[in-house]
Amino acid sequence: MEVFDGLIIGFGAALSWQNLFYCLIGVLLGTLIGVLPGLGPVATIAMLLPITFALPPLAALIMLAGIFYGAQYGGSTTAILINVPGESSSVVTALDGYKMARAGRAGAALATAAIGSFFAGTIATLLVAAFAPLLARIALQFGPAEYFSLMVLGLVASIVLASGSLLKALGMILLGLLLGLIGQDVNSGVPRFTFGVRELFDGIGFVILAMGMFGVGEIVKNLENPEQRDALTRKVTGLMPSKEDLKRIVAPVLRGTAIGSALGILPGGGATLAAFAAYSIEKKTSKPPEGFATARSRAWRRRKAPTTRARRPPSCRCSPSASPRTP
Amino acid sequence: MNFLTRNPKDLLSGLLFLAAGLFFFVYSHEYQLGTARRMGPGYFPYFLSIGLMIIGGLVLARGLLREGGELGRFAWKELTVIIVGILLFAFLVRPAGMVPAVMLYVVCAAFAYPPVRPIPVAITAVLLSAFCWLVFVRGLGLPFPAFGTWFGG
Repeated sequence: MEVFDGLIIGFGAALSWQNLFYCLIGVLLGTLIGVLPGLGPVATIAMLLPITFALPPLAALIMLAGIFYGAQYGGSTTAILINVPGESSSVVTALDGYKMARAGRAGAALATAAIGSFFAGTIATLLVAAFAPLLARIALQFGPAEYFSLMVLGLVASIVLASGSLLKALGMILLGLLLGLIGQDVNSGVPRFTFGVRELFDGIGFVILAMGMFGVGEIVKNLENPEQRDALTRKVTGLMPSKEDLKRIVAPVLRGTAIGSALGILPGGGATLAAFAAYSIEKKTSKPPEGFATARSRAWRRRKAPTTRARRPPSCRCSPSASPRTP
Repeated sequence: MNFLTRNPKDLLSGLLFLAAGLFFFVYSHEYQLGTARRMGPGYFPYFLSIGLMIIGGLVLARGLLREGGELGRFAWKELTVIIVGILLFAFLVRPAGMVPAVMLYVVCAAFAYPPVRPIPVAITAVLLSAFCWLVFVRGLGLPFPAFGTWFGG
Protein backbone atom coordinates (compact mmCIF):
# COMPACT_ATOMS: atom_id res chain seq x y z
CA MET A 1 0.00 0.00 0.00
CA GLU A 2 1.88 3.01 -1.19
CA VAL A 3 -0.57 5.29 0.57
CA PHE A 4 0.48 3.96 3.97
CA ASP A 5 4.14 4.03 3.07
CA GLY A 6 3.71 7.65 2.13
CA LEU A 7 1.85 8.41 5.32
CA ILE A 8 4.54 6.76 7.41
CA ILE A 9 7.27 8.77 5.73
CA GLY A 10 5.20 11.90 6.26
CA PHE A 11 4.62 11.20 9.93
CA GLY A 12 8.27 10.38 10.37
CA ALA A 13 9.23 13.76 9.03
CA ALA A 14 6.51 15.79 10.71
CA LEU A 15 6.37 14.21 14.15
CA SER A 16 9.25 15.91 15.85
CA TRP A 17 8.82 17.99 18.99
CA GLN A 18 9.98 21.00 17.11
CA ASN A 19 7.47 20.64 14.28
CA LEU A 20 4.63 19.92 16.67
CA PHE A 21 5.59 23.02 18.60
CA TYR A 22 5.47 25.13 15.44
CA CYS A 23 2.09 23.61 14.69
CA LEU A 24 0.87 24.57 18.16
CA ILE A 25 2.13 28.12 17.75
CA GLY A 26 0.49 28.29 14.33
CA VAL A 27 -2.89 27.10 15.60
CA LEU A 28 -2.69 29.47 18.55
CA LEU A 29 -1.86 32.50 16.41
CA GLY A 30 -4.38 31.47 13.76
CA THR A 31 -7.18 31.14 16.28
CA LEU A 32 -6.26 34.41 17.99
CA ILE A 33 -6.40 36.31 14.73
CA GLY A 34 -9.26 34.34 13.24
CA VAL A 35 -11.34 35.34 16.25
CA LEU A 36 -11.10 39.00 15.30
CA PRO A 37 -14.32 39.71 13.44
CA GLY A 38 -13.90 40.01 9.70
CA LEU A 39 -10.53 38.29 9.45
CA GLY A 40 -10.94 34.93 7.77
CA PRO A 41 -8.33 32.24 7.11
CA VAL A 42 -7.09 33.77 3.89
CA ALA A 43 -6.41 37.16 5.43
CA THR A 44 -4.82 35.51 8.47
CA ILE A 45 -2.44 33.42 6.35
CA ALA A 46 -1.52 36.44 4.30
CA MET A 47 -0.67 38.45 7.39
CA LEU A 48 1.21 35.72 9.22
CA LEU A 49 3.15 34.53 6.20
CA PRO A 50 6.22 36.64 7.02
CA ILE A 51 6.79 34.97 10.38
CA THR A 52 7.31 31.63 8.67
CA PHE A 53 10.04 32.90 6.38
CA ALA A 54 12.75 32.21 8.88
CA LEU A 55 11.75 28.56 9.33
CA PRO A 56 12.88 25.55 7.32
CA PRO A 57 10.34 24.69 4.58
CA LEU A 58 8.81 21.69 6.36
CA ALA A 59 8.29 23.54 9.64
CA ALA A 60 6.89 26.51 7.74
CA LEU A 61 4.36 24.33 5.94
CA ILE A 62 3.31 22.74 9.20
CA MET A 63 2.96 26.09 10.88
CA LEU A 64 0.92 27.51 8.00
CA ALA A 65 -1.37 24.51 8.12
CA GLY A 66 -1.81 25.16 11.83
CA ILE A 67 -2.56 28.82 11.17
CA PHE A 68 -5.11 27.91 8.54
CA TYR A 69 -7.00 25.46 10.75
CA GLY A 70 -6.81 27.79 13.71
CA ALA A 71 -8.15 30.74 11.74
CA GLN A 72 -10.95 28.70 10.24
CA TYR A 73 -12.00 27.55 13.70
CA GLY A 74 -11.55 31.00 15.21
CA GLY A 75 -14.14 32.30 12.76
CA SER A 76 -16.80 30.13 14.36
CA THR A 77 -16.28 31.91 17.68
CA THR A 78 -17.33 35.31 16.39
CA ALA A 79 -20.14 33.67 14.45
CA ILE A 80 -21.50 32.09 17.63
CA LEU A 81 -20.87 34.87 20.12
CA ILE A 82 -21.66 38.01 18.13
CA ASN A 83 -23.29 36.72 14.95
CA VAL A 84 -20.56 38.01 12.66
CA PRO A 85 -19.31 35.27 10.34
CA GLY A 86 -15.76 35.90 9.21
CA GLU A 87 -16.18 34.05 5.93
CA SER A 88 -19.05 32.61 3.98
CA SER A 89 -18.57 29.09 5.31
CA SER A 90 -19.30 30.16 8.88
CA VAL A 91 -22.60 31.82 7.97
CA VAL A 92 -24.32 28.56 8.81
CA THR A 93 -22.54 28.41 12.14
CA ALA A 94 -23.95 31.82 12.94
CA LEU A 95 -27.49 30.70 12.13
CA ASP A 96 -27.85 28.32 15.05
CA GLY A 97 -24.75 28.97 17.08
CA TYR A 98 -25.82 32.51 17.82
CA LYS A 99 -29.29 31.36 18.82
CA MET A 100 -27.68 28.92 21.23
CA ALA A 101 -25.52 31.70 22.63
CA ARG A 102 -28.61 33.83 23.20
CA ALA A 103 -30.22 30.91 24.99
CA GLY A 104 -27.24 30.85 27.33
CA ARG A 105 -25.59 27.84 25.74
CA ALA A 106 -22.65 29.59 24.15
CA GLY A 107 -20.23 27.22 25.84
CA ALA A 108 -21.89 24.14 24.43
CA ALA A 109 -22.05 25.70 20.96
CA LEU A 110 -18.36 26.58 21.02
CA ALA A 111 -17.39 23.14 22.26
CA THR A 112 -19.56 21.43 19.66
CA ALA A 113 -17.97 23.50 16.92
CA ALA A 114 -14.50 22.59 18.19
CA ILE A 115 -15.22 18.88 18.50
CA GLY A 116 -16.92 18.72 15.13
CA SER A 117 -14.16 20.66 13.41
CA PHE A 118 -11.46 18.51 14.96
CA PHE A 119 -13.15 15.22 14.13
CA ALA A 120 -14.11 16.11 10.58
CA GLY A 121 -10.80 17.83 9.91
CA THR A 122 -8.88 14.73 11.00
CA ILE A 123 -11.04 12.23 9.14
CA ALA A 124 -11.22 14.35 6.01
CA THR A 125 -7.46 14.79 5.90
CA LEU A 126 -7.01 11.03 6.14
CA LEU A 127 -9.63 10.46 3.46
CA VAL A 128 -8.04 12.97 1.17
CA ALA A 129 -4.62 11.45 1.69
CA ALA A 130 -5.94 7.98 0.94
CA PHE A 131 -8.00 8.83 -2.10
CA ALA A 132 -6.14 11.82 -3.46
CA PRO A 133 -5.29 10.40 -6.89
CA LEU A 134 -8.81 9.13 -7.44
CA LEU A 135 -10.40 12.33 -6.13
CA ALA A 136 -8.19 14.46 -8.32
CA ARG A 137 -9.40 12.61 -11.37
CA ILE A 138 -13.05 13.15 -10.47
CA ALA A 139 -12.48 16.80 -9.68
CA LEU A 140 -10.77 17.37 -13.00
CA GLN A 141 -13.79 16.07 -14.85
CA PHE A 142 -15.89 18.85 -13.40
CA GLY A 143 -16.80 21.14 -16.24
CA PRO A 144 -18.86 24.30 -16.53
CA ALA A 145 -22.14 22.37 -16.56
CA GLU A 146 -21.30 20.63 -13.28
CA TYR A 147 -20.23 23.87 -11.65
CA PHE A 148 -23.39 25.55 -12.79
CA SER A 149 -25.51 22.77 -11.29
CA LEU A 150 -23.56 22.99 -8.06
CA MET A 151 -24.12 26.71 -7.84
CA VAL A 152 -27.83 26.27 -8.45
CA LEU A 153 -27.82 23.64 -5.72
CA GLY A 154 -26.13 26.08 -3.38
CA LEU A 155 -28.61 28.84 -4.11
CA VAL A 156 -31.59 26.51 -3.76
CA ALA A 157 -30.14 25.24 -0.48
CA SER A 158 -29.89 28.73 0.88
CA ILE A 159 -33.53 29.38 -0.02
CA VAL A 160 -34.56 26.15 1.67
CA LEU A 161 -32.54 27.09 4.73
CA ALA A 162 -34.06 30.51 5.09
CA SER A 163 -36.51 30.81 7.91
CA GLY A 164 -39.55 32.92 7.22
CA SER A 165 -40.93 34.09 3.90
CA LEU A 166 -39.86 32.06 0.87
CA LEU A 167 -40.56 34.95 -1.46
CA LYS A 168 -38.29 37.27 0.47
CA ALA A 169 -35.56 34.63 0.54
CA LEU A 170 -35.77 34.42 -3.23
CA GLY A 171 -35.63 38.20 -3.48
CA MET A 172 -32.55 38.34 -1.28
CA ILE A 173 -30.83 35.70 -3.40
CA LEU A 174 -31.44 37.79 -6.51
CA LEU A 175 -30.30 40.92 -4.72
CA GLY A 176 -27.17 39.11 -3.56
CA LEU A 177 -26.43 37.96 -7.10
CA LEU A 178 -26.87 41.52 -8.33
CA LEU A 179 -24.54 42.85 -5.64
CA GLY A 180 -22.07 40.19 -6.71
CA LEU A 181 -22.12 41.61 -10.24
CA ILE A 182 -20.61 44.86 -9.07
CA GLY A 183 -17.07 45.11 -10.31
CA GLN A 184 -15.28 44.03 -13.43
CA ASP A 185 -17.15 41.55 -15.61
CA VAL A 186 -15.02 38.42 -15.94
CA ASN A 187 -16.06 37.75 -19.52
CA SER A 188 -15.91 41.13 -21.16
CA GLY A 189 -13.74 43.11 -18.77
CA VAL A 190 -16.33 45.85 -18.60
CA PRO A 191 -16.60 47.36 -15.12
CA ARG A 192 -20.23 47.08 -14.03
CA PHE A 193 -22.02 49.36 -11.57
CA THR A 194 -18.78 50.90 -10.38
CA PHE A 195 -19.67 54.50 -11.34
CA GLY A 196 -16.03 55.28 -11.77
CA VAL A 197 -15.18 54.42 -8.17
CA ARG A 198 -11.87 52.62 -8.38
CA GLU A 199 -12.40 50.74 -5.13
CA LEU A 200 -15.46 49.02 -6.59
CA PHE A 201 -13.64 47.45 -9.54
CA ASP A 202 -12.78 44.40 -7.49
CA GLY A 203 -16.37 44.00 -6.37
CA ILE A 204 -17.76 44.11 -2.87
CA GLY A 205 -15.90 41.79 -0.56
CA PHE A 206 -17.72 39.16 1.45
CA VAL A 207 -16.30 40.35 4.74
CA ILE A 208 -17.45 43.89 4.12
CA LEU A 209 -20.95 42.79 3.19
CA ALA A 210 -21.15 40.42 6.16
CA MET A 211 -19.92 43.14 8.49
CA GLY A 212 -22.62 45.50 7.25
CA MET A 213 -25.49 43.03 7.10
CA PHE A 214 -24.74 40.93 10.18
CA GLY A 215 -22.44 43.12 12.25
CA VAL A 216 -24.00 46.56 12.02
CA GLY A 217 -27.47 45.05 11.75
CA GLU A 218 -26.93 43.08 14.93
CA ILE A 219 -25.55 46.06 16.81
CA VAL A 220 -28.48 48.27 15.88
CA LYS A 221 -30.97 45.53 16.67
CA ASN A 222 -29.42 45.11 20.10
CA LEU A 223 -29.67 48.83 20.67
CA GLU A 224 -33.36 48.76 19.79
CA ASN A 225 -34.09 46.25 22.53
CA PRO A 226 -31.54 47.00 25.20
CA GLU A 227 -33.04 44.50 27.64
CA GLN A 228 -32.19 41.53 25.39
CA ARG A 229 -28.56 42.17 24.75
CA ASP A 230 -26.91 39.76 27.05
CA ALA A 231 -25.39 37.07 24.85
CA LEU A 232 -22.24 39.12 24.54
CA THR A 233 -21.86 40.16 28.10
CA ARG A 234 -22.93 36.97 29.79
CA LYS A 235 -20.14 34.75 30.99
CA VAL A 236 -19.50 31.72 28.83
CA THR A 237 -20.00 28.69 31.02
CA GLY A 238 -20.44 24.98 30.57
CA LEU A 239 -17.81 24.58 27.90
CA MET A 240 -17.80 20.84 28.34
CA PRO A 241 -20.83 19.36 26.62
CA SER A 242 -22.85 16.91 28.67
CA LYS A 243 -22.94 13.20 27.88
CA GLU A 244 -26.33 13.68 26.36
CA ASP A 245 -25.01 16.46 24.15
CA LEU A 246 -22.19 14.26 22.97
CA LYS A 247 -24.58 11.46 22.15
CA ARG A 248 -26.69 13.82 20.11
CA ILE A 249 -23.87 15.20 18.03
CA VAL A 250 -22.38 11.87 16.99
CA ALA A 251 -24.66 11.22 14.03
CA PRO A 252 -24.67 14.80 12.70
CA VAL A 253 -20.89 15.00 12.94
CA LEU A 254 -20.56 11.74 10.98
CA ARG A 255 -23.03 12.91 8.34
CA GLY A 256 -21.32 16.28 8.15
CA THR A 257 -17.94 14.67 7.72
CA ALA A 258 -19.23 12.53 4.87
CA ILE A 259 -20.87 15.46 3.09
CA GLY A 260 -17.89 17.67 3.64
CA SER A 261 -15.47 15.10 2.33
CA ALA A 262 -17.58 14.53 -0.77
CA LEU A 263 -18.24 18.17 -1.61
CA GLY A 264 -14.89 19.39 -0.40
CA ILE A 265 -13.07 17.66 -3.23
CA LEU A 266 -14.47 20.04 -5.76
CA PRO A 267 -12.20 22.94 -6.39
CA GLY A 268 -13.88 26.25 -5.79
CA GLY A 269 -17.26 25.23 -4.43
CA GLY A 270 -15.68 24.31 -1.20
CA ALA A 271 -16.46 24.92 2.39
CA THR A 272 -19.48 27.14 1.93
CA LEU A 273 -21.43 24.73 -0.20
CA ALA A 274 -20.58 21.80 2.06
CA ALA A 275 -21.64 23.75 5.12
CA PHE A 276 -24.97 24.71 3.61
CA ALA A 277 -25.66 21.24 2.28
CA ALA A 278 -24.88 19.60 5.60
CA TYR A 279 -27.03 22.11 7.44
CA SER A 280 -30.03 21.55 5.22
CA ILE A 281 -29.72 17.80 5.71
CA GLU A 282 -29.53 18.24 9.47
CA LYS A 283 -32.53 20.50 9.35
CA LYS A 284 -34.49 17.79 7.60
CA THR A 285 -33.35 14.84 9.67
CA SER A 286 -33.38 16.46 13.08
CA LYS A 287 -36.09 14.83 15.17
CA PRO A 288 -38.08 17.89 16.17
CA PRO A 289 -37.78 19.83 12.93
CA GLU A 290 -39.72 22.82 14.13
CA GLY A 291 -37.55 23.10 17.21
CA PHE A 292 -34.35 22.76 15.33
CA ALA A 293 -32.98 26.09 16.33
CA THR A 294 -33.49 25.53 20.02
CA ALA A 295 -33.41 21.77 20.39
CA ARG A 296 -30.22 21.20 18.58
CA SER A 297 -27.02 20.88 20.21
CA ARG A 298 -26.70 19.22 16.91
CA ALA A 299 -23.52 19.33 15.18
CA TRP A 300 -24.30 21.49 12.37
CA ARG A 301 -22.26 22.36 9.58
CA ARG A 302 -19.06 23.53 11.00
CA ARG A 303 -17.35 20.28 10.71
CA LYS A 304 -17.82 19.93 7.07
CA ALA A 305 -16.00 23.09 6.40
CA PRO A 306 -12.75 21.64 7.72
CA THR A 307 -12.69 19.21 4.87
CA THR A 308 -12.11 21.83 2.35
CA ARG A 309 -9.57 23.32 4.58
CA ALA A 310 -7.69 20.12 4.18
CA ARG A 311 -7.58 20.59 0.51
CA ARG A 312 -7.55 24.24 -0.18
CA PRO A 313 -4.42 25.18 1.68
CA PRO A 314 -1.89 23.16 -0.27
CA SER A 315 -2.20 25.40 -3.27
CA CYS A 316 -1.97 28.61 -1.30
CA ARG A 317 0.69 27.27 1.02
CA CYS A 318 3.11 26.05 -1.53
CA SER A 319 3.51 29.02 -3.75
CA PRO A 320 4.41 31.62 -1.16
CA SER A 321 6.56 29.39 0.97
CA ALA A 322 8.56 28.03 -1.91
CA SER A 323 9.88 31.18 -3.48
CA PRO A 324 10.98 33.68 -0.87
CA ARG A 325 12.75 31.16 1.29
CA THR A 326 15.51 30.18 -1.07
CA PRO A 327 18.13 32.74 -0.13
CA MET B 1 -57.51 49.85 9.10
CA ASN B 2 -56.47 51.16 5.73
CA PHE B 3 -54.43 49.33 3.15
CA LEU B 4 -51.20 51.05 4.09
CA THR B 5 -51.16 49.84 7.66
CA ARG B 6 -52.42 46.35 7.01
CA ASN B 7 -49.04 44.78 6.45
CA PRO B 8 -46.34 47.45 6.62
CA LYS B 9 -43.49 44.93 6.86
CA ASP B 10 -44.22 43.32 3.50
CA LEU B 11 -45.17 46.65 2.01
CA LEU B 12 -41.80 48.13 2.84
CA SER B 13 -39.73 45.11 1.88
CA GLY B 14 -41.62 44.94 -1.41
CA LEU B 15 -40.78 48.57 -2.06
CA LEU B 16 -37.14 47.98 -1.14
CA PHE B 17 -36.87 45.06 -3.56
CA LEU B 18 -38.58 47.09 -6.25
CA ALA B 19 -36.25 50.02 -5.73
CA ALA B 20 -33.13 47.84 -5.80
CA GLY B 21 -34.41 46.02 -8.89
CA LEU B 22 -35.22 49.29 -10.61
CA PHE B 23 -31.79 50.67 -9.83
CA PHE B 24 -30.02 47.72 -11.41
CA PHE B 25 -32.54 47.63 -14.27
CA VAL B 26 -31.90 51.24 -15.20
CA TYR B 27 -28.14 50.99 -15.03
CA SER B 28 -27.91 47.64 -16.79
CA HIS B 29 -28.94 49.50 -19.96
CA GLU B 30 -25.52 51.09 -19.99
CA TYR B 31 -23.96 47.75 -20.82
CA GLN B 32 -24.27 45.68 -23.92
CA LEU B 33 -27.05 43.13 -23.65
CA GLY B 34 -25.92 40.48 -26.10
CA THR B 35 -27.91 37.30 -26.64
CA ALA B 36 -28.45 34.24 -24.49
CA ARG B 37 -25.85 32.48 -26.58
CA ARG B 38 -23.33 35.29 -26.40
CA MET B 39 -24.08 37.20 -23.26
CA GLY B 40 -22.85 40.74 -23.00
CA PRO B 41 -22.00 42.38 -19.69
CA GLY B 42 -25.56 43.69 -19.43
CA TYR B 43 -27.37 40.41 -19.93
CA PHE B 44 -27.20 38.93 -16.47
CA PRO B 45 -27.96 42.12 -14.51
CA TYR B 46 -30.82 42.93 -16.90
CA PHE B 47 -32.69 39.69 -16.34
CA LEU B 48 -31.79 39.41 -12.65
CA SER B 49 -33.15 42.88 -12.01
CA ILE B 50 -36.38 42.02 -13.83
CA GLY B 51 -36.69 38.95 -11.60
CA LEU B 52 -36.04 41.06 -8.53
CA MET B 53 -38.68 43.58 -9.56
CA ILE B 54 -41.23 40.79 -10.10
CA ILE B 55 -40.53 39.44 -6.64
CA GLY B 56 -40.67 42.93 -5.21
CA GLY B 57 -44.06 43.37 -6.87
CA LEU B 58 -45.33 40.10 -5.42
CA VAL B 59 -44.17 40.99 -1.93
CA LEU B 60 -45.71 44.42 -2.33
CA ALA B 61 -49.00 42.90 -3.48
CA ARG B 62 -49.00 40.62 -0.48
CA GLY B 63 -48.29 43.62 1.69
CA LEU B 64 -51.35 45.39 0.31
CA LEU B 65 -53.74 42.45 0.40
CA ARG B 66 -52.89 40.32 3.38
CA GLU B 67 -52.66 41.14 7.04
CA GLY B 68 -49.20 40.92 8.47
CA GLY B 69 -46.67 41.88 11.06
CA GLU B 70 -46.25 45.35 12.42
CA LEU B 71 -43.13 47.41 12.09
CA GLY B 72 -40.85 47.74 15.05
CA ARG B 73 -39.39 51.03 16.13
CA PHE B 74 -36.85 52.48 13.74
CA ALA B 75 -33.60 53.05 15.55
CA TRP B 76 -32.69 56.02 13.39
CA LYS B 77 -30.51 57.70 15.95
CA GLU B 78 -28.52 54.58 16.78
CA LEU B 79 -28.13 53.66 13.14
CA THR B 80 -26.87 57.13 12.27
CA VAL B 81 -24.43 57.27 15.14
CA ILE B 82 -22.94 53.85 14.33
CA ILE B 83 -22.61 54.54 10.62
CA VAL B 84 -21.20 58.03 11.10
CA GLY B 85 -18.67 56.52 13.50
CA ILE B 86 -17.58 53.95 10.91
CA LEU B 87 -17.29 56.64 8.23
CA LEU B 88 -15.25 58.88 10.53
CA PHE B 89 -12.93 55.98 11.25
CA ALA B 90 -12.55 55.20 7.56
CA PHE B 91 -11.67 58.76 6.67
CA LEU B 92 -9.42 59.38 9.65
CA VAL B 93 -7.44 56.18 9.89
CA ARG B 94 -4.91 57.24 7.26
CA PRO B 95 -4.41 60.95 7.91
CA ALA B 96 -4.84 60.86 11.70
CA GLY B 97 -3.61 57.36 12.41
CA MET B 98 -4.95 54.25 14.07
CA VAL B 99 -4.91 55.43 17.70
CA PRO B 100 -6.87 58.69 17.33
CA ALA B 101 -9.32 57.08 14.88
CA VAL B 102 -10.15 54.21 17.24
CA MET B 103 -10.50 56.61 20.18
CA LEU B 104 -12.87 58.84 18.25
CA TYR B 105 -14.87 55.85 17.12
CA VAL B 106 -15.30 54.59 20.69
CA VAL B 107 -16.47 58.02 21.84
CA CYS B 108 -18.84 58.25 18.89
CA ALA B 109 -20.26 54.77 19.43
CA ALA B 110 -20.87 55.54 23.10
CA PHE B 111 -23.51 58.07 22.06
CA ALA B 112 -25.56 55.27 20.54
CA TYR B 113 -26.44 53.96 23.99
CA PRO B 114 -27.02 56.78 26.42
CA PRO B 115 -26.40 57.77 29.11
CA VAL B 116 -22.80 58.48 28.13
CA ARG B 117 -20.50 57.86 31.09
CA PRO B 118 -17.22 59.70 30.43
CA ILE B 119 -14.88 57.64 32.58
CA PRO B 120 -15.71 54.14 31.27
CA VAL B 121 -15.76 55.55 27.75
CA ALA B 122 -12.30 57.07 28.20
CA ILE B 123 -10.93 53.83 29.63
CA THR B 124 -12.43 51.81 26.76
CA ALA B 125 -11.04 54.24 24.21
CA VAL B 126 -7.52 54.05 25.61
CA LEU B 127 -7.51 50.27 26.04
CA LEU B 128 -9.09 49.55 22.68
CA SER B 129 -6.81 51.85 20.75
CA ALA B 130 -3.79 50.34 22.50
CA PHE B 131 -5.08 46.88 21.67
CA CYS B 132 -5.69 47.75 18.02
CA TRP B 133 -2.30 49.35 17.72
CA LEU B 134 -0.58 46.34 19.27
CA VAL B 135 -2.44 43.75 17.21
CA PHE B 136 -2.89 45.42 13.86
CA VAL B 137 0.02 47.83 13.56
CA ARG B 138 2.77 46.19 15.62
CA GLY B 139 1.73 42.54 15.45
CA LEU B 140 0.31 42.15 11.98
CA GLY B 141 2.11 45.01 10.30
CA LEU B 142 -0.95 46.47 8.58
CA PRO B 143 -0.05 49.61 6.69
CA PHE B 144 -1.65 52.07 9.12
CA PRO B 145 0.37 54.53 11.16
CA ALA B 146 -0.23 54.73 14.91
CA PHE B 147 -0.32 58.51 14.57
CA GLY B 148 -0.75 59.91 11.09
CA THR B 149 0.57 62.95 9.31
CA TRP B 150 -1.78 65.21 11.26
CA PHE B 151 0.17 64.41 14.39
CA GLY B 152 3.55 64.51 12.77
CA GLY B 153 3.70 60.70 12.28
